[in-house]
Amino acid sequence: MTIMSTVLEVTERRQGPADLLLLKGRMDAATAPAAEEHLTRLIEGGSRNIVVDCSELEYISSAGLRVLLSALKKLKQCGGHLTLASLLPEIRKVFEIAGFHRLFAIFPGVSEAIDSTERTQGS
Amino acid sequence: MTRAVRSLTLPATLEHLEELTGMVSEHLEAHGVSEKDLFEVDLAVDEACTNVIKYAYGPRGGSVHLECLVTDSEVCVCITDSGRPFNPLEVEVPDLTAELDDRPIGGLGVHLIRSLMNEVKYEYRDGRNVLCMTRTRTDRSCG
Repeated sequence: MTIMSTVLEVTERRQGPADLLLLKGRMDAATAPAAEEHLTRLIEGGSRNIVVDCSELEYISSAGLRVLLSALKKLKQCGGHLTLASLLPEIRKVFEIAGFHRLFAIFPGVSEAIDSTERTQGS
Repeated sequence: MTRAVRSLTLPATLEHLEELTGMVSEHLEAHGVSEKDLFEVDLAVDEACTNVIKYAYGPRGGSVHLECLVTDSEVCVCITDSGRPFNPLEVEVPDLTAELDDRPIGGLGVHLIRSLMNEVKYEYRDGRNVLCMTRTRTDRSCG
């Protein structure tokens, strides 16, 4: 077993109709503000479809959940969407304990999340 | 029978959060605690330490003391601070079924602690908040 990463890397890229945000590492009270900065900048810059790729997100605390919930609320207010993709089982469990699996659209992979974004835009 | 204790005292600031949770993770890993137990204890310790860091002290700051005990059957972590008295067990459980518009931002940390640990005890003793959290190891039978 390896000790988990203690930093959070945030990578942004445009993929089709969505802005993709890749979170890698550990999202806690010390590191979540870095993700919050990216999300705020994207939303204020006009992004309305954000897909968060969680495939390399090893850890999330309530501070990380708070950042994602805040972004979801902001996007919903302006008619946008935030979807999550590729949650590891332990991250999924944290979402379930918090009841967040009811609030977020969660997809098994990034391509499914982007497809759902395309469908939403087309509807 | 295993009975291994490790402790650490650090300034209660976000810059030290990684070192605080890292001490517990390292201690658990060194004593063969499973990855699942380690993840969930780590999260509970993170939430409890973050509460101390954010709310226990005023601008002058203070310290947080962690003590972690691993036995063959359980893990117990006690978090002590000398900040303002605060019993996290009195925090109301958020409505987990509320719709998005009614969901407050926050209030989940204590709920996570309660959900992940088997027993959580709080006492205010000699001017200190002491929060002790115990989790039964899922990787071992008792003894």
